[in-house]
Amino acid sequence: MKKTTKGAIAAGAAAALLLGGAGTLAFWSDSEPIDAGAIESGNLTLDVATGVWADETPGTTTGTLFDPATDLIVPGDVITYTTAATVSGIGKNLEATFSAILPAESGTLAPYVATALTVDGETDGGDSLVFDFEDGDTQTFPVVVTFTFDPTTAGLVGQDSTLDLASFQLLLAQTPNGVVTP
Amino acid sequence: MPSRLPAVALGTAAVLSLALAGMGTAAYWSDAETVPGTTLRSGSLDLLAGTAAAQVQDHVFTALDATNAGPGSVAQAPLTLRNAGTEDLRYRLDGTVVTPTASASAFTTAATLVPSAASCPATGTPVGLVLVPTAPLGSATSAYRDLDKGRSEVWCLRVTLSPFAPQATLQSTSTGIVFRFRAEQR
Repeated sequence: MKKTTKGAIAAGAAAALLLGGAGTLAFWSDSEPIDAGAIESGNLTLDVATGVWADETPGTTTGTLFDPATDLIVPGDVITYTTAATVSGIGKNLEATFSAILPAESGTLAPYVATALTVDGETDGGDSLVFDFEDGDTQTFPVVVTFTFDPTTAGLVGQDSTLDLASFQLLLAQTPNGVVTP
Repeated sequence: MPSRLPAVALGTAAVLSLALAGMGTAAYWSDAETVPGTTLRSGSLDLLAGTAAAQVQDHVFTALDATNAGPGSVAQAPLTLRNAGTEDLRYRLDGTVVTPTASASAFTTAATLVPSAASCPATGTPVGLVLVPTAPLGSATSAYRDLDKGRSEVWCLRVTLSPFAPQATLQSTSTGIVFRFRAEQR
């Protein structure tokens, strides 16, 4: 073999190697963008309206209006504070439980006044209120605090006294739906 | 021993993830609203008795005092009753306490509602609404009367020593009389 022939073969091999080094550029290929769209999260909200006071003493002849700033209570009185809670939410797996816990009453009048919390007619503080927001929902229900001045309070007991009820919290909390929590 | 470092790092990561999982539902959504606190105040029921000028809880009714009273003697004096509480009330003459008890039968009493203390002279029959018709002192009571807060009324109280008071037991004795009024919430 002539030296020139060897040289040509070597050059060809080198060219082939170079081409091979360029990889798949020369092969067929296809690509498509995938539009996965957007994933949106849902929502969960709780709102409370301004409360309303009322005198619900059975047989009262002085009307149902009550203003705690000026009106004084006496044995047998039944006073209510009513507010409306609105729960709203949406989410495929969204479930939520409502709850409210009344704080202890204090003050010199406390021993003579019973305080009760009623949520949507239930006396369990709303623990029984479980909402399913799978398709989106908004519900409003009453939250009522009832103060009852023990009608058996006799003599001059409990006069010129005060009852203090601290602020309390209403809570709407998501409960796991199909999720096992450890 | 540098070769053990990756294993230590892996172990730490595992502990962290376990700790996060242990927080349970704290990671879920929740919304809280606060309902403001409140203060309720109680009123008061307070019936006071006294003169037109001043009324107290336990009034000493010296205006009705009588000395050297004999059979047929009459003592008469005005008593102002005032509602000093924050609530409307109803009240009545609830009874009397006579000391000694045995003397009660020798006295009668009567009460009349008069417009003012001046309408209740020491003698003479007062003009007004009869609250207690002449009755034995021991059993004198009146019907309930409404008395709104801040208002007052004047009673003209009369005590008469019976013309037939037994001399043997009452002569040179002293008799104490307590008029007891009762007020109720209404």
